Order: sequence, then C-alpha cells, then structure tokens
Amino acid sequence: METWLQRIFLALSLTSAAAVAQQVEPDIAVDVVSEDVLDSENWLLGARVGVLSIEDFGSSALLALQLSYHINEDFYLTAEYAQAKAGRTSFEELSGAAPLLTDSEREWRYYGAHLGYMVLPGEAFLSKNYAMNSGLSLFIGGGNVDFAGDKVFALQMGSQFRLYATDWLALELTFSDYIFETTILARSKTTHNLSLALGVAVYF
Amino acid sequence: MIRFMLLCLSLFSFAVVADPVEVTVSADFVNLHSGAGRGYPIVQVAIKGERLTLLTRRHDWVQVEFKQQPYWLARADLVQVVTLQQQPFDVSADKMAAYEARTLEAGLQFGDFNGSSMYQLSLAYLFSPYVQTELALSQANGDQADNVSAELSVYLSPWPHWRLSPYFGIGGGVLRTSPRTVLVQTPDRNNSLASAELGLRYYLSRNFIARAGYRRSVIVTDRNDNEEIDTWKLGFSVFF
Repeated sequence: METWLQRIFLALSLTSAAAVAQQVEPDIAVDVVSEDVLDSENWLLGARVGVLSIEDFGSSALLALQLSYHINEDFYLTAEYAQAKAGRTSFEELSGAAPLLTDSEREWRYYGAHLGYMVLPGEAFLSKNYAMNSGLSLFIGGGNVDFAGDKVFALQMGSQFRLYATDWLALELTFSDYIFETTILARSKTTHNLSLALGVAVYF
Repeated sequence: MIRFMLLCLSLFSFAVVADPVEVTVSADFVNLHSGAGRGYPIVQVAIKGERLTLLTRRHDWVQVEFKQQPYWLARADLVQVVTLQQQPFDVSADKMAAYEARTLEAGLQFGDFNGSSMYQLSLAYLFSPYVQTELALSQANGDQADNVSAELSVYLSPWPHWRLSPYFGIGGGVLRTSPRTVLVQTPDRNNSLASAELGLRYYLSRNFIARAGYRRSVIVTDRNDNEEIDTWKLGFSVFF
C-alpha cells in the first residue's frame, strides 16, 4: 500500500515538474518609454484687473494674481493674491463726520487658495466660421482678508470663463465672491464682496 | 514683484526643455482633438503607420504635431503609439512605488481649531517610510482671537505600504494669540503647545495624497489650569 502511494506521488511530482519545465518565460525585458520624457506644462500664471465691490465701501479697482496647478483635466488648484483700496461709506459722504478708517486701513488684501472644477469645456463660436476653445470652471476655497485693521477668514467662490487665444495663452473673465465677517460697524455681520475681472494667463 | 515672477517663469521654462518625440500609430487609428480636454472636438484622425511628433504634456493630454498642425492626443491613447524603435509607452498614473519612496511632502489643510476656521501649511521630511518629521504653520481666525502657531511633530506610520494608511504622532511648538477686542488694547500672548495627533493618509494619484487628522493640544498657560484644544483638519499633500 505504502509503495503504491509513493508511486502515485512520484508520478504526480514528475508530471508537475515537466509542466513547469515546458513553461519557459522568455527572459527579455520589454523596453517601455515613460511619458516623463515629454515636457509637462501643468502650471498656469495669471493676472487680472477689474472691479471689487466692498460691502458698505463702494466699488473699487481690483488687481489679482493667481498661480494654478492642473491636477487633471477636470480639477485645478490655485493660490491667489488680490488687492484693492476701499472707498468711503455713504455715511462718511453724507454726515461730513470724521472718516471711519485711516488711509492704510482702507487697503483691502486677500490671499488664499481654491479648488476649481472645469464644468463646461468646449468651443465658443465667435463668428459663423471661427471657433475658439473655451472653458467654464467653478471654484471654491478660502483664505485671509486683511481689511480695516483686522484679519479675518474669508470664503471665496466663483466662476471663471477662459478663452484660449493660443494653446498656451488664455483670456479669463472671473467672477468671484469673497465672503467674510466684519465688525467695522460695531456689530458683526457677514459681507459679500463681489468682483468681476478680466485677465490673461499663460501655461508653462 | 511681477518682474521677479517673470524671471522665475523664464528660468522655469529654460530649465525643463525636453526634445519632441517621434512616434508612429500602432493601433488602427487615434483621435486628435482641437484642445486639451474631452469637450474639444475631434478634428483629425491619424491612422495606423502614420507618424506623429509628441511635443508637450498638459495634465491628461499630449500636444502633438501631425501634418504640420498642432493637435491634442489623450494621454490614455499613448498606448496606441510606439516610438520609432518600436517601444511602447507607460501611462500608468498610479505611482505607488514613488509614493512609498518619497522623502519630501508639502501640504495644505483646512479645518476647525477649537471652533474657529483654521488653515495650515506644512512641510515634511521622511526618514524612512515609517517615520517622518513635519513642520506646520497654522492660522486660525476666531470671534475672540486670532491664533498663529508653529509646531514640529514626529509621525509614525505603522503600515506605510497601504493605500489608506493610518498615522499617529506627537509634537510641540508655540502659539501666538492676539485677542480680538474693540475697546481695550490687550497684549498678544505667547504660549507653549504640546500635541498628539491621529490621522489617515490616502494615496490619490500621481503625486497627491489626501489627509485627514484629529489633533489634541495642551496649551501651557501661567494660570492654574492648562487649556486643552481640539483641532480637526482635512487637506492634501504633494510629494516629491
């Protein structure tokens, strides 16, 4: 009985060894090229000018710089710096009283970061036969607002319409809302500060 | 400022100049789009055996030159072309091996610092896949006070090879508190801070990591009781 079992195991091991011996893998490495041999241009540097309406303080000129990194074709991350100078409130204009803020306190500055999502990539037809690539994106983020001698957290959200003049140069129309709490007029309130600005951006 | 940025920009563009790559189409055909995105129409088709020149990459797209015209080829379609030496392309976005071998990590996180909105910038150095040290600067603006803190921490990741991997650690640093008062001028306070953190790291894709964490800090005050503060945060890191 025992030798019989041994014979079966011997036969089994021999057949499996033969099967292994037949499967000889060719030992040649497949030469694969990495996509990293190509330059990547995922960065976008932009500047824009426009109007910012600072709640209670009228509208003023806005200057903003932004640096974006495209994670993929849908999402991008942006660091932004924006500045403006607030005007006078209606109260200051009408009452003739002493101004509420000093000149340096009227400097409005924002720095922060946001995440954008490209919702509508496509073509814009400027005439019957002429189309340009364009894209509409939505973004949301946060940062700091330095205004009226106070530093507060601000939420930023908005949308950006981008028109590609060439493959690396884009024209941008940006609508943005900076939402933050102010205590300038004694009691705390949430203000919406809307801006509309036109700019250019380059890919590199 | 702008001049400096332009200088950086020009340095950047000169530093990375790679040659275009000549390829031939190995699949039956590839679609060529007018722009770098799925929303831009297919304006040309290159059929098997035709030659393309790969110029640059932009996120999921590759700019190509075909019959003296520029077009965009989907990055995923790089598997449909071969170089003139018949070499195929590797287009995997999953760089888990590079993730495990990373040494530097920079992060941005948003969260809640004891009831006020907080955000944090951090830079980490990995001694090994298991041990890393991190310097974090954070700012929180609350109703009562503004807080700025700088902390140095050491984190341990017991299972660094998992895609979703937990970590824990301890750290210490300083916290500067500026009370937000309207009528009376209150001086800023500087306090020492000691913390413990528990969190999760998730490898997303390419060089991105998602992070979430809970941190409990003890603020050493000169009063009889020390203060304890909870921080919740969520964000991402990029690694190099």
